[in-house]
Amino acid sequence: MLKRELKVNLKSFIIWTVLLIGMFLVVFLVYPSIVNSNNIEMMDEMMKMFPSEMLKAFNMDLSTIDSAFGWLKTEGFIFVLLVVGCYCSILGSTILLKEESDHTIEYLNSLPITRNKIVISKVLCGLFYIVLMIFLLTIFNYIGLSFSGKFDHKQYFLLSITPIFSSIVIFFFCLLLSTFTHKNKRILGMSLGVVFISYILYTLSSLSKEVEFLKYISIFTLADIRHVILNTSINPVMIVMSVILSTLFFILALVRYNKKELL
Amino acid sequence: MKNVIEVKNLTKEYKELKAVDNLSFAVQEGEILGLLGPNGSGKSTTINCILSLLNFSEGSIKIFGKEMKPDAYDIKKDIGVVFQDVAVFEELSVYDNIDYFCGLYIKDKRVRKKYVEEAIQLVGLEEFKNFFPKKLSGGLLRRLNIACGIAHKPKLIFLDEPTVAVDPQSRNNILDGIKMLRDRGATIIYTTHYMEEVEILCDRVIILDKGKIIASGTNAEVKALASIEEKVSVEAIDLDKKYIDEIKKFKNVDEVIYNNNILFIRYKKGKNNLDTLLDYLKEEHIKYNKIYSERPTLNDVFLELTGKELRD
Amino acid sequence: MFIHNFKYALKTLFRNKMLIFWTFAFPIILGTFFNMAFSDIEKSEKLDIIDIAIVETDEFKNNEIFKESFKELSNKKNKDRLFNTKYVEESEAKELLKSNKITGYLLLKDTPKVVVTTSGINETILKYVTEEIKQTEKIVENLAQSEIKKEVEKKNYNIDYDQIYNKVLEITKDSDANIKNITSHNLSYTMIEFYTLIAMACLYGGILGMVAINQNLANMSSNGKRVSVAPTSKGKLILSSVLASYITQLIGIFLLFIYTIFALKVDYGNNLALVILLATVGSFAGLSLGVAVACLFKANDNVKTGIVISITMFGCFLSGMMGITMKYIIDKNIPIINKLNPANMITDGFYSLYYYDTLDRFYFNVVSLLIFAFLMIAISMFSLRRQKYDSI
Repeated sequence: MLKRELKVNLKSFIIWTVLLIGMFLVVFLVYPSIVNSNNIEMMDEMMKMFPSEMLKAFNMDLSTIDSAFGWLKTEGFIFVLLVVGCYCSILGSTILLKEESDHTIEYLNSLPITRNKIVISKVLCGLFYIVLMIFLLTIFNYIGLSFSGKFDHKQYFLLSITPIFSSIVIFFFCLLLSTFTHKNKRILGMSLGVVFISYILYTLSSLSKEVEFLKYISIFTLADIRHVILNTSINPVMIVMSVILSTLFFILALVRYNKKELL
Repeated sequence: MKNVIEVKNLTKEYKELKAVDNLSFAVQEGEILGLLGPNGSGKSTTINCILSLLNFSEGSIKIFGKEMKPDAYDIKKDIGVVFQDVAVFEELSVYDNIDYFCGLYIKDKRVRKKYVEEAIQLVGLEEFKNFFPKKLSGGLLRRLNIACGIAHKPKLIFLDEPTVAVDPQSRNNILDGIKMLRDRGATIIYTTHYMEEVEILCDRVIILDKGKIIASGTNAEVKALASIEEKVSVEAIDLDKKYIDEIKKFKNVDEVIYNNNILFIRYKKGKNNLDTLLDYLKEEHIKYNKIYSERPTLNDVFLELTGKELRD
Repeated sequence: MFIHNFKYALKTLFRNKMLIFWTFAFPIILGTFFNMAFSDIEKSEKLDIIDIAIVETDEFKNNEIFKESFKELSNKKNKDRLFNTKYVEESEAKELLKSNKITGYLLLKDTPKVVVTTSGINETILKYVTEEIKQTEKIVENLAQSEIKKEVEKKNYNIDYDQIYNKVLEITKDSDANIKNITSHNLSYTMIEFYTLIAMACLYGGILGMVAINQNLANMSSNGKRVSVAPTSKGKLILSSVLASYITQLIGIFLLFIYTIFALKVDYGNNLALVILLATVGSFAGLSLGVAVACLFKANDNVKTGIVISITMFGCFLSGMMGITMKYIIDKNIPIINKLNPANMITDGFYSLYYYDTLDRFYFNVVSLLIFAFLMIAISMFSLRRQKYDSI
């Protein structure tokens, strides 16, 4: 069952990974020429003229953009969170629902396997591809950064891991959402909505005290990039929260799927 | 009687296989032609090629005597199609769905309104006019699907497995509706893998397998292709083997199986087979409870010609 | 047939709860959060006139570009005035700086040098302005030299100085805009973010455009199959569906404007009509992108949705909507990318209303968006002509 799942989801995994790596390839190709010109110092200084709250939203108060690693620490990893988050939301929301829309659920139900087994094999497949995507991107960015100069390796690897915490929660949450409906289209919009709203709330939450509460609603808070940049370590609270939330959503999804009337 | 559809040497190939292999047939005006075949035999592919939805490698297709093309609107205006998948808008009510699709054929609002009401009556959805598709059962949804395809009173109708997963009441309603359409003068192409429907509805039948025609003709003509004449089942408790061996030697007997107290006999061509059997049972004082006799079905023909069942 | 399909396309769109949320509610919710987030920042941002000195070296006196630029930036009658400038000897400049009476001073000898004692916003502004003028000077010199060289090579000794002057003006306009961008009293982060919000709302039209096409393509939906066998021109059906999608999109944009103007009290200034024009054209461009993706890519609904979202996100990313630095990096180094990027055309159009006195750049962006949109539509129509499928 797991092999089948891996095969079925391989194409979309490849497309998303290629897209993601492609975007960073553009950055690595462009950055050396930027750094070599005088532009970057000027831009860096210019960025400081923006309000401090806006800089904080993109971690620019903690890092400069005069190197590729500096850019990664500011906008780069936030972008990774968003794109990987989108992939996880689409994967989570469609991996179970696909069987109903493709009408293969009747065939699956006729086999001597429990619904729990169906869900678990799909979850394993999803987790595998999420971790693999992040791993491949980490390797790629590491190679890219190695050509662009010195950087803090430990900090880099820790930063590279942080997307996992938000991504798996998004995956399980969208998986749970998908157990409430039979229609692919409906759930896709909702899942992407969760990601985009989370992203925007995450960005806005550092802009003023009035909206600071938004970070508690955003899933991307679990990634806590700032903590890694400041302390070169992952915030253990976020790891625990991520595990708890993932487990909770997973169990709820299992319960719900077992009760669901499958068309 | 003139031909409404003429298909000549139609071939549709995909990389790995020939979905339709040198198919030629004609459909006469006013008849119901059944396209029978198991899943993957090329029924839907043939329909899609005829409707110019699919490219095909070779062959020609004429409808109403004219070459069929994607922009042959003069032909398309007289065609109605009911696809296997339910094709309705979730966001529109029953009435609006039928009105929308009818409106693609009929511009005049008054005429269209009349046609829509008639279509709703034909499929028996009067009570559900303002319902939305997600509130309808599978059978009612299929009826709506049909209404959307025939509301504009087409002369030529394609029905692609319209009764799949439908409750018996809805199915009867659908079959009655189709007969009514034929009585009104429509020519109908009916694809299915339910042979009983073909036997009830169709004037002629074509049996497809692996993209080829393996039998065609009226129901009787096709059934005559079967080498068996009759199948008889007798419920006889604890029948002795010697009787079974005797029956095997009867004239015209092709096969005898005794299992779970049911004696099953297949007869090749010949008459009065049942009389002979009944006389023998009486003579030997063999007690029996029930006895069934049936003529060969289309499934039998298909099984003989291909070694497979129609419904796999 | 057109009106019939249009009417029903509108009906199905307005009854699609998910689409309605994304088109109408989401931008408004976002706008509300933006307002809450940025209103505090607005209150704290006030830029003062910066006290500087310029050492009157011979090089400075002979350098028209530096001289005129600082003169203009120090002109009391200029509403965008940045500096309060004293023209002094070097020793006096050092003294003024030491006693904190000036932020810094400019010493122009072989190369311009900005002398400051600390780092801060004002120091950075002075450095930035100096660098910007220096770059402009270089470009102008190179341009004048190359133009003259070209004419001489052609053996044309009647050089069109007017033409060269106009080209120089273009460059200095860009430089002006860059300076204003950083230092203008009109700079409003709320406005920038609301313009970003409007641009993103315009680009959501891509999904609506895609829906319009998928409903009419035989290989995309059962409804598409049914519609394909009807005796109705595909072109009419698609155009009517696309028009319905466009109108839905526009209603969403206008609701956003109404909400931001009346509820959030966002001030679009005297340019409201032009902002609405740009939003209208931007929506059309976003819609056309979705139409093109739906026609060109042979994939299922989810994959196409993913493609539209990826392209839109990537465009927004490059135009600086998701961060601050990307736009500047791309504009400075690979400007052609952003010139072809519809997301950038929209945001650049908005910014140009703010920073330029003339509307040339604004209309350039509007026309670019229209060209982009028509190109997408043309490609789509071409790919749909007499379409039959190998597989549906």
